[in-house]
Amino acid sequence: MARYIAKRLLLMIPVLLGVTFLIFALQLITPGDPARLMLGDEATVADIEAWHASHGLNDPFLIQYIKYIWNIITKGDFGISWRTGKSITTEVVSRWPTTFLLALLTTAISVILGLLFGITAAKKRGTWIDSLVRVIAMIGVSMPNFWFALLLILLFSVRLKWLPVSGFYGPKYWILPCMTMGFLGAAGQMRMTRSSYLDNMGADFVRTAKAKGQTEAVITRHHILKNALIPIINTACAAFAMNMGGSTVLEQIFAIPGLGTLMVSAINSRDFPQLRASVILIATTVSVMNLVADILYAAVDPRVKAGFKKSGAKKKKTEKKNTEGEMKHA
Amino acid sequence: MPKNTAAAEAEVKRRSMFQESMHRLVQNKLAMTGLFILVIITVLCLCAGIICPEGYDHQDVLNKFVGPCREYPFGTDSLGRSMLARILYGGRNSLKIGVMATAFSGVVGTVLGAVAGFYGGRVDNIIMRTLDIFSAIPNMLMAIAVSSALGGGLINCIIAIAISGTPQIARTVRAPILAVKEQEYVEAAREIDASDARIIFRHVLPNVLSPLIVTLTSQVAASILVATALSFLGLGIQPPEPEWGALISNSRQYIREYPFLVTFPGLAIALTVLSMNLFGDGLRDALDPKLKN
Repeated sequence: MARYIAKRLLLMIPVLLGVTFLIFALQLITPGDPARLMLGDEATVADIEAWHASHGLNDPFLIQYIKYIWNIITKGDFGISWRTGKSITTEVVSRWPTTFLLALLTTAISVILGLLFGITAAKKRGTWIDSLVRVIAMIGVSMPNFWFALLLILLFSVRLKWLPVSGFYGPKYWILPCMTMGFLGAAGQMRMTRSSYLDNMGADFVRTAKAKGQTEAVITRHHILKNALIPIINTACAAFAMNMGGSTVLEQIFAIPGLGTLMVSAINSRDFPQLRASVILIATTVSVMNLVADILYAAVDPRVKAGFKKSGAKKKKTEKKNTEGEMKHA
Repeated sequence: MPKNTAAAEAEVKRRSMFQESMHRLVQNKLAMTGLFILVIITVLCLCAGIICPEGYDHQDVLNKFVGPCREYPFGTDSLGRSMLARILYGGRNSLKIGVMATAFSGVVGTVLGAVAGFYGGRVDNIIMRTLDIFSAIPNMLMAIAVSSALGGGLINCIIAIAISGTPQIARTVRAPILAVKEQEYVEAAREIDASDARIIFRHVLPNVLSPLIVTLTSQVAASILVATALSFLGLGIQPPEPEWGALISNSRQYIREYPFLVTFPGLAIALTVLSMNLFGDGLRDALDPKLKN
């Protein structure tokens, strides 16, 4: 297992380097000179030259990138803001836990609700309960999250006055944001759980277990759920990535001081280093969580680990591809 | 009536795979409902000029914040502009972005996936590892990063969303190609000296068509959701041009007094995406009945 984790960690490094390079390269397609944008029209050529020099923009692009990465790896330094000229590291890093916790919490809510309703729907397949759950889930995956958030505000804050509209000062303020993404995520999770559960319900080993007189509870837990878990972990992971990525919109609506609001203000003030640092931090978090999911796969599915042991990472990869391919159609 | 049954059987046998799938699709009531709503929304948006001849920018200064009434079915906004007109004209932008971005990523993704799957080896490795990097960034984040670098506007918005959608298409195309490229008929085509392009387009790609169509349908819906979110953040379509997400974002501050300003554009988004998803689900079941449970 330790070797497996080590190997997956090593495989993550080129992806992360690629991600940072990609985000860094975005400044190449940005029209206009950042110095002109920051200093305004009155700035002289000398001012602009000085600004370029102090922000390290005179180096060739690749050198800039290598310096940037080197500073992040060795010093944890994300550079200085174009707007204020101060270091952005503390700001970005101090906001990370809020975004991460929120994404984790909403993912947990959606997984629990999704499992609960997904299994119920699968077991009561064809009844009105199944249809009702499926219709609600269908509507759930079709709603834009910002609109759903506003509807919840309208109901719970404006009409019923139960919960505060926005801000982030205590547990009460967490409820609406968590509900928004938790419910919408649950819809996708429920659809996945239902189809994956149904797939396994008709499997030969379930029939065998029934034939030998195994109890319903053990069949559900041991035979069906354990096998259905792989695509479920996959969707949970995708939901986490979506919640991390969607934090921008959600935090903007509820005025949550996380990476999302930082990104929006960075976009509005054209402070590219700040946006860059936030995006890199979120993408890294998502990659690490993907790794955790991969390790979970190996834990719940001995086939993954066995495949890895026999012929190294290659076999494992094809197996993962297969589950991914199946997931797409589910 | 044995004669009739025999005739019916012959009828069934004469149908091609495609006709068979279409037959299943037409039988699916939910999918047809989705398609019906989708067609209505599209036609309404296309006919925005006829339904609201005064345009989306006409201000009725005396009638600000009018609730839904006969003259203004969806009310008017803070400047006295008809919400109906703004939603219809805004829908043009939202639908345009959804379709164009998907078409863009569909073409690029298909080419990349086909090349990667067909040639395999190093080419495959380079393309797929690069796409791994792209898909390591969550879709929404990618769209935000690219469109904030490029700036707002319709074209930039389409590019941003297309880039974030490409990896998934490439994967969808690559998987079935890997499966069929070793088949005898591909080998036979190669033996008679068919060009790579001919083999790919004529013999390999048709196998990809049904998963590709299914992915594309769901991607149009996903693209619309991302597009509205971008505009909601002020990154996509720029004012005064209307767009569904931008309409919600502009009306947000009035949510206490005039909630209808937020509910109607949102309803438009949700209804469009819902009908696309319904149709997409039906399409998937029709094209691949094995997967239906």
